[in-house]
Amino acid sequence: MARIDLHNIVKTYGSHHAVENLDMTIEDGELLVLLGPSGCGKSTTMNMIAGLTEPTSGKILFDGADVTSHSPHQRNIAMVFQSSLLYPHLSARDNIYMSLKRSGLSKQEINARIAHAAETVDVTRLLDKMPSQLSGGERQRVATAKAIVREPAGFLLDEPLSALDASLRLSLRAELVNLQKRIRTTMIFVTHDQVEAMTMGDRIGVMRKGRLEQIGTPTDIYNRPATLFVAGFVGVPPMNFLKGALEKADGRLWLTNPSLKMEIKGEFANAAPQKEVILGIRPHLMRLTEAGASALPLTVYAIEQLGNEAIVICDGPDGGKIRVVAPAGFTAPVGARLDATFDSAAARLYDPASERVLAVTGKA
Amino acid sequence: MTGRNTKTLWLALAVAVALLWTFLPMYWVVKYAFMTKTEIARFPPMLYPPDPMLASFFNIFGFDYTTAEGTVFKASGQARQIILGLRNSLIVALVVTAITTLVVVPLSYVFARLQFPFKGKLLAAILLSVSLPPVSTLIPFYTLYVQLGLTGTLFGLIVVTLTITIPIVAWMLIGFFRNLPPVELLARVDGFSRLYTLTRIIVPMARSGIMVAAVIAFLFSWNEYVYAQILVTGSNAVTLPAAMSGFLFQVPEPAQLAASLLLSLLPPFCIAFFLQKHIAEMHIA
Repeated sequence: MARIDLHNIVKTYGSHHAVENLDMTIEDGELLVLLGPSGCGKSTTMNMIAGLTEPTSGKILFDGADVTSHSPHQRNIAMVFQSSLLYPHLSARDNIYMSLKRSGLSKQEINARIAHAAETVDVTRLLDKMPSQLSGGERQRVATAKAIVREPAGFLLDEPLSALDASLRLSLRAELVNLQKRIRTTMIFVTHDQVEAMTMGDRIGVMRKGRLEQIGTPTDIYNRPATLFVAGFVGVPPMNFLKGALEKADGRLWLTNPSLKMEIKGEFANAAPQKEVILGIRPHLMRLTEAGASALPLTVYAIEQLGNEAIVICDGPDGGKIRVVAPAGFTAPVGARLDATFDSAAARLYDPASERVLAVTGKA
Repeated sequence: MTGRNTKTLWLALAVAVALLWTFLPMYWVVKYAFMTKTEIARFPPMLYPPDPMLASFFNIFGFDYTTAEGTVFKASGQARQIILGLRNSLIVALVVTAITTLVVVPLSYVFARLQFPFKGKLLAAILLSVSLPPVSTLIPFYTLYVQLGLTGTLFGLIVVTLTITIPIVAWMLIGFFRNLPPVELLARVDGFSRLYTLTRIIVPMARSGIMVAAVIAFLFSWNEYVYAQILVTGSNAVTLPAAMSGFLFQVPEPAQLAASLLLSLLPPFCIAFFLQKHIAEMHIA
């Protein structure tokens, strides 16, 4: 177990910047999820933490000690790779044993550790099977046993569930979180699946184009996304965006566009007026209403029935799609006119140029 | 007849044609080996030996053979060459196989799994030497060998055969190594050195591929005729294919030629038989 600090990490491949000026701290015993689309630098970041890739510049500290030039083995990290990679020619037991082969432990201690690790993830009866005889879920468990048998300082997982089918993923997700809480190892989990990130992480680091966009708890990331990218990437159905201008009138702040004039309340009420802003609002926070001045005129495009609710996908006034969550069973013909409203205090305002949330000074 | 049955029929027919295509010429040779010269000369040709006998097999090893009726088949004049050839072919093939495997395993591994400068160009060089017809290097090798005094030596023949086997086997194994899962990552996390990873993890993992590669090297060496014909024919370093070609320049002995052909087919046949399983695995990988 260890606290892991990344100081100003840069990784370049030729002229390509894989990771830029990354600062991050992973607390001891925490489960941090690195989330982002492919090519965002999350796997590179994990490989640098593991010691598989050397950063171009910057420092990596484990419990305050500089390990930047240490090998993965010296760092005492354990890793589960994509598709739960195992040595294909070795039995499950020997795969787990390979983690301890260079540990210098006694034969007895090694056997005890293997037995304990196998029991922890419930693979005791699989120990004599070859990887090719294991199912996807069993491989994943054996790979996990191989990782925890080392009692690592950090446990790193690189999209271990991505090759599995949906229902298996669901149960293994819970299993991994449960395991992490039981053994209290610092765990870093890389994924491109935002649902996986939301359900597993103590905290989530959202990455894009080699930069850390935001790091925080799942609730924080969901309710207070710091950038347009995070707002659009996290959450199902995705956040709605409306373009407009911020104007001051009668001492109050208004968002106006050709089809809407709405007073901005809440934390952004004191934002500085500016010509172009983007307002973001979650589909769950919108309601279908009667037509009115502060309502958004919409045209029904499609309706998705989810059983417990319905998602109404509409063409918005400025061309983009707007999703509104309606009660289960809601129907309307395609092309019908609807109106929707929402509480502006629940909306987030972003600057389209910097793609970051608007700065607010003072209190509303 | 249903469409499905028609399809099966055509498939069976195609398989039959393919089998006939492959096995008929071989059958013809097998048949000759058990017949007498007069039987072979008969027209129309006989479809099977009327009275199969083993005389030719004794003759090519230098023994006279007397049938029950008292007919004597004399030992072949090529016998000394055949025996020498058999011994030399085995020596050359085994040495070439061993050296090829030792060189090619690390070489292919490096090309398949590591990044280094000029990799693409060096790989193209290997490919080029695969595509080079042996005849194109024959004259240069011959003049070189005459000057070095290497004609008619097993050493010289081994060196020349390696120039054929190493590129082609490397080319095969590079593809095989590329398809292995990235276990080097696991090995690094487990704290193993690169050398340990190659010798103790990659090699056991790739043993079927390596075995097939060794067999290919053996077969290429065993079957090599062009260089042997020019460099070692008539010397003590003669190999079986070169020794057999000697039959072509003497009084025709088709039965003995056929018998020695069968002899030369024996090792490849045994190898293919015992390694079927590994060869099949190689195709899956």
